[in-house]
Amino acid sequence: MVTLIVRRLLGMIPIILGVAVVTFFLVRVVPGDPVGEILGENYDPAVAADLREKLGLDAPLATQFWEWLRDLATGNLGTSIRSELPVTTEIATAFPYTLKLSVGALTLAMIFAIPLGVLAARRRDKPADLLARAFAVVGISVPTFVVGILLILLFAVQLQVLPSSGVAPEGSGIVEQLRYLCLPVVTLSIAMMVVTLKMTRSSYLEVAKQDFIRTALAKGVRRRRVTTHHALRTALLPVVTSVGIEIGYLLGGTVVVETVFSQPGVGSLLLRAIGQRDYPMVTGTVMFLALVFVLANLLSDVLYIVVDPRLRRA
Amino acid sequence: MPDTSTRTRRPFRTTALGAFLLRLFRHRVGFAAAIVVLLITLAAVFAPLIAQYPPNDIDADARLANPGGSHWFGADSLGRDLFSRLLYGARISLLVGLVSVSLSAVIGTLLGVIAGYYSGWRDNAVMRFMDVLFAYPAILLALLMIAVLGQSTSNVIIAITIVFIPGFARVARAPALSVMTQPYIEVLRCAGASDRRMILRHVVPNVLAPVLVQFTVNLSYAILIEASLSYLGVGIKPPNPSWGNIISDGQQFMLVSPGQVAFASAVLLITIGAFNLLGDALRDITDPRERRSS
Repeated sequence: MVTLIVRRLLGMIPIILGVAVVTFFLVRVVPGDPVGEILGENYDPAVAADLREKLGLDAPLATQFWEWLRDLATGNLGTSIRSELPVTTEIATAFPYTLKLSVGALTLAMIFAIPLGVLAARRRDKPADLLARAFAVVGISVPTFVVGILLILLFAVQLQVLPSSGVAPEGSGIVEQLRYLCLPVVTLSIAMMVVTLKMTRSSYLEVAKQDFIRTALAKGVRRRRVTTHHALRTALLPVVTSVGIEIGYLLGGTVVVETVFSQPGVGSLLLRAIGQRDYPMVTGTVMFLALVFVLANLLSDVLYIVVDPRLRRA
Repeated sequence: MPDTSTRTRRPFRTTALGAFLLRLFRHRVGFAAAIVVLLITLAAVFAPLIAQYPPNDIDADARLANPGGSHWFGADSLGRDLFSRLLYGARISLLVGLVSVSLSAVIGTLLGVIAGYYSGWRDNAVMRFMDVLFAYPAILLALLMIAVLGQSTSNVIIAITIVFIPGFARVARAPALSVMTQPYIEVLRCAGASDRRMILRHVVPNVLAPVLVQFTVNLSYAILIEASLSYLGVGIKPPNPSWGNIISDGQQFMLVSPGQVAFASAVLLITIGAFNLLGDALRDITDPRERRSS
C-alpha cells in the first residue's frame, strides 16, 4: 500500500511541473504584448519599459521561466500589478472563503447524494428512482448561476429568510455565518450532488447483481445490513474516485458562485484580475487552484487505496 | 395473377446509418431529445426569418415591456426585443458549441489515435500533455485562455476547444490501442499497408462511436461554459446577444421584470438538457452490451 501511495505521489511531480510550464508559457508565448494589454492604446514607451522591467519581461524567456519556477518552489507567486501586494498574501486572504464554500458543498452533496443514489437503485424504475433520475437530468443541465439566481429569488426576495449575497459581518456567531453560507453552498453543491447520485446509483446496481450479495441474502442476513455492510461499501469505491475529479468542477464552480453571491474568494480574485489585466495575479491564482485540484485528486487516489482492501493488501 | 410461390424474397437490409437512426427512433427519450435539438438548431439557423426585430434594435418605449403584444417574450432594459435576442443568442451559443467541439474532436481524436497507434514515446508524450491539461478545472483553463487572448467570440471558441481536447484524446486512445492488438492489423502490416491507410481505414472508424457520444455530451458542456463565461462578463461581448449575457443583464431588473431571466434560463436549460439526454441515448444505442440486452 505504501509503495502505491509513494508511486502516486511521485506521479504528481511531472503533472505539477507540466502545469507550471503550461501556465507560464501560455501567458508569455501567446501573441500580443501583456504590457500593451495592461496600458491600453497610445502608452508612453518609458512607462512601458518600466512596467516590462517590473514584470521581469525584459529578461530572456529561459531566465524568466527559471526565476518563475524558483519563486514557485519557495511559494512566491509574484506581486500583483494593481494592489502591489504579494499574490500569495491576496490568495491567503481569499482562500478561506473559497474553502468554506467548497467543503460545505462537498459535505452537503455527499450527505444527500449517497442515500438518494442507494434509494434510487433499490427502487429501480419505481417513482423514487424516476424522481431521482429527473432531478439528475435537470441538475446537470441547469447552469450554476441560474440555480443561484432562482435561490436568491425564492429565499432572499420572496421568503426573506436568508441573505441574498455577501459574507457575515466580522465577529458574528456561527448561526449568522451559516445563514450567509447557506445559499452559495446549496448552489455549488447541486452539480456535484447530481454526479454523485448518478455514480452511486449505477455502482450500487452493478454491485447488487453480484454473487456475494445473493449469498448474503440467502444466508438470511437482513436486507438493511446487506445494503450498508456489503453492497454500499463496495459501491462507494468508484464514488470515492469521482470525488477527486468533482473537486475540479467544484473549484471552477466557485468562480461563478462567488460572483453570483458576491463572495470575496479566490474565484472573485481571479475574475477581478482578468478584468484589470493583472497577469501575475491571473497566473498565480490559476496555478494555485490547479495545484489544489491536483492535490485533491491525489488525496482521492490515496483514499481509494486505503478503502479498497484489494489495493490495501497489495 | 403472377405466381409468387417460386420467387425468393430478398432479406430486408438496412445501411449502418439506417440501423442507427432506427435505434434512435426506438429510444423514446433520445428521439424526443433529438427533435428538441433539431428544433433549436432550425430556430438558430432561420433566426433572421423568425425574429420580429433585429437583435440590437432599441425601442425606448418598450423598455422592460412585459411579454405579449408586439414583443412576445417582452423587452430588456434598453427596449430590445427579448425573443429576437434569444433566437440570435441561440445562433451564437450553438455556433460556439459546434465549432469548438468539432475542432476539439478533430484535434483530440487525432492525438488519441496517434498515441494509440504508435504507442511508445509518442503515446507517452501526448498523453502526459493531456494529463497536464486535465489538471486544470475546465472553466479555469477557459478563463486563463480568455485572460491571455482577450475577450472575443473567436477566443471563446479557442478557449473551449482547448478545454475539450484532452477528453477526446483519452476517448479515442483506448479503442485505438485495442484495435492495434487485433490480428488483422498484423496481417495488414505484413501486406505493406501504409500508416496513413491503417489509421484512416481501420483505426479511425473504430473510435468514431465513443467519439460521437463524447461529441454530443461535450456540446452541452460547451454551451454551458460559453453561457457561464458570458454571464461572468468575459465571454461574448455585448451588445451581441448570448444566453449568458442576457441572463446577466436581466438579473439587475429581475424584481420588476423577471421575464428576461426566466425565458433565457428556460431556453438554456432545455437546450443543455436536450443535448445531455441525446448524449445518454447515443451512449445506450452505441453500447454493444445495451444493444444485446434490448
